[in-house]
Amino acid sequence: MAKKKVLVMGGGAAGIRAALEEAAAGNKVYLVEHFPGIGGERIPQDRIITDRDLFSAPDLAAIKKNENIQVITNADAQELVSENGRYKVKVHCRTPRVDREKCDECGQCIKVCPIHMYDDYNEGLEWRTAIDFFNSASGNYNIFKEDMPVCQRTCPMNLDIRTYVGYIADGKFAESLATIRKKLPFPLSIGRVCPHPCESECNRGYKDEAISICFLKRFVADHEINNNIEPKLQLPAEKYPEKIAIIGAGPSGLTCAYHLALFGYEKITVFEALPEPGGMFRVGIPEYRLPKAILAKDIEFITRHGVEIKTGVRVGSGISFDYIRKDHDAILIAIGAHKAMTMRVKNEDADGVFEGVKFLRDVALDNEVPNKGTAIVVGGGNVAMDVARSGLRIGFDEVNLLYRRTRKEMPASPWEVDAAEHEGVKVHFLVAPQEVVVKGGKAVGMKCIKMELGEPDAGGRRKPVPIEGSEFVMEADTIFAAIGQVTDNSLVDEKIGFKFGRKLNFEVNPETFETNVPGVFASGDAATGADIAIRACAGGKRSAESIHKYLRGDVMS
Amino acid sequence: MYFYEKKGRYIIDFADIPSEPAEMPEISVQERKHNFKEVETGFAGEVAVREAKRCLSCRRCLGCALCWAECKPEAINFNLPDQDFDLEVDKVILTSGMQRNIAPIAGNFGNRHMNAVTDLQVERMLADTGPSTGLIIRPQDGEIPKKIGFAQTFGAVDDRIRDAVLTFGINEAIIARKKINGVEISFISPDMDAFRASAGSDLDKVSGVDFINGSVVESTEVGENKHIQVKYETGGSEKTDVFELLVLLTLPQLPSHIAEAARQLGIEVDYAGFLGNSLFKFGPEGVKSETD
Repeated sequence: MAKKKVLVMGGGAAGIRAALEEAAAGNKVYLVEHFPGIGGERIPQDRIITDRDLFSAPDLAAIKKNENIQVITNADAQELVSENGRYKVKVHCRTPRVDREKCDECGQCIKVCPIHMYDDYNEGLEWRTAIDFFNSASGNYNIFKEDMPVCQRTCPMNLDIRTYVGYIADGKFAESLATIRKKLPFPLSIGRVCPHPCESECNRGYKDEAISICFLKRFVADHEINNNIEPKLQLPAEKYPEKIAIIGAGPSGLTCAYHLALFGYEKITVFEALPEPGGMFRVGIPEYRLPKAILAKDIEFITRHGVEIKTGVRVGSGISFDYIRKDHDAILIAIGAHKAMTMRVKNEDADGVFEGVKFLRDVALDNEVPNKGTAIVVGGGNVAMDVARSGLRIGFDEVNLLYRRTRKEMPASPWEVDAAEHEGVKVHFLVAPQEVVVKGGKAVGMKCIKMELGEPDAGGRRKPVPIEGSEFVMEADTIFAAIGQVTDNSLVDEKIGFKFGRKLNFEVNPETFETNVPGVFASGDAATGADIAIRACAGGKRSAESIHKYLRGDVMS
Repeated sequence: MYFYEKKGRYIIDFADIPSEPAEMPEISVQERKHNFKEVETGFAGEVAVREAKRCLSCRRCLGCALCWAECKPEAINFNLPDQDFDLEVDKVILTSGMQRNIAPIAGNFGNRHMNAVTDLQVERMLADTGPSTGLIIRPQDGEIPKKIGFAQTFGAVDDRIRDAVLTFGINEAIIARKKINGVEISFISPDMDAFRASAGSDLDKVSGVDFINGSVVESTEVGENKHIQVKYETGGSEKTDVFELLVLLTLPQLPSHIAEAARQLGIEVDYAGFLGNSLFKFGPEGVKSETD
């Protein structure tokens, strides 16, 4: 039988063991490792050890000697395609910048390197130099010049955080803001509402606490408006004539419009169904977190680049999607996810039961909203927190929030939960709604059941299970459902043949944000399902790049 | 020993750079009643500058070329390109490794204390090829600890992950007992009873480790030596103990590059999946996973 070829991904103890086994069976093995070195020792996690097996130490010498194993370090396997029972794999190998044929491993370079950085191989116990062999047992010399620091790599938009924070440290606020705006046109808004995944990864967290990256962004943006500084616009000299329609003036749509304008497109029209632009920034996030006047400044900055926003135009009812498609060279659908998911409990359609997102929208647009007596909010995400905190502000005497798991599982940002409780929202954990109690056609309360955490589900979260006989009724004048949102995709006709995902979102190529309909792109919540604003902005930027590529061929400016 | 010398060279405490992060000022709860005034009021200029100075400007090669000048065989080539190539294989095996994120550890565990380390850091210390060539030492002074506490830092998770983490920590305790003569070890976990039920007699064979079914209430640094005083709750009462080194048992995650690779390969996978040795069907032969 012919020798088989095997790809082993991961050069840890398990990967090395698998590689040796496959080679012993007479196969040709490619061992691909992300880091510059393989190996290390591992303490077992599947059995309590005896004297003889303290470590599962991989046999590095055997790997080196074995002619049937080719070790490929500093590399990742990408794009695995299955074909006739075989796999085609693209391997991307990042340069070590050290010619391994010539290197004699004398170590002199390490002695002179002035850069001392976090040693990821040793969990930060040591500091390693920028040129390093990574792992003393098996590593290869390489120069570490990663594309981005961790914060930037973690940011969905890859904002150049190190540079803009550095400018602030130097007191160069305008330069800092310009750095942010190279990618993000919403520094005032994102600087207020972002849950800042970058800060969780910040290396300073290993010493004391992460840098307040998000608030610093807000600071430089605030500094410009507080001091009445005219923002500088960077419009290119070369212009393009194509007409582009963007449906939805939210974080994603407007970021896309901004970047198209920066590319040189002059005919960009943003269609917004609501009377005001801003999307979830405007009607989802409450005033006390993001004032409308502040948001308006970010939007003004975008429109000054020649972006036209038509508000109060609902595509699909006032104007048809087909008409827009005929009239434009490319379309972006960025309509967000504004439709509340149902609680799936009895009497949900009773008078006095409202969608949480609709309540926030009505508050934001100064429409009439319920505001008397006590309210129940069902849900544990940031929307639920916004509804509860807004509820107290708008006039409810008492707001009770129900969540069926514990604080730990809550998807809302912990500081939002803290603030809600601080302001007087009563949070009830391990309580699930069962049925809306109705009297005279109107909701008067919620029949609830207490829960306990049971076995973990597929995602590893422990599933809440009802405690039998623990039912009780919580009285309320108004009930808000805030358990998630889906996209209202009714603007497009079924006949066009768009593919939709689980959250009724438009299915797109995750790299290009192109839908299955040529020339039509989708980004933001409408493509990803409800997600954080910075990811929507990142999608908007990527889709602008894709639209540019689509309209101009492969030439990227 | 170079271990500490190097650590000291990295993040120096500058007298003019604050260690504490700047706090965002807020309006009081009273002021928020029945209005939608913005709650957070923003940094003042000098606060922002001070906060920005805390940034470590995370390092990487600057291209200073000192190494290039020093390298006799002229092996250093800053412009050596990346390489892309295609492989055709009959079988793919994906193995995970682990990543431990210290960010989610609650403050009461004292992950900012000098002599608190994570379980994965201890694994590195215990390794002969690691930074302390197989010794467990206190980061603060390099002394070998005579009393070590292990504490679980997370709540309810998948039982498989919980068992893996506790086994990992217990194995470290066993090795530590072998390496350090007469070391006292306490092992605090709110899931100890549940773990004992699943581990059975294996756990009874472990000697010299005090297994406590309890939860950490708070930990504080005490004295000049910065020992760690741990207050914990067990069996309805509160107890206190002082450790020379505290090992925080952390939640393992898939390393981000493996999660990314899995995403690119179209496999849905989590850390528990790797522990379970599950087989990922992918095409005719299936992508196989093994635990690390």
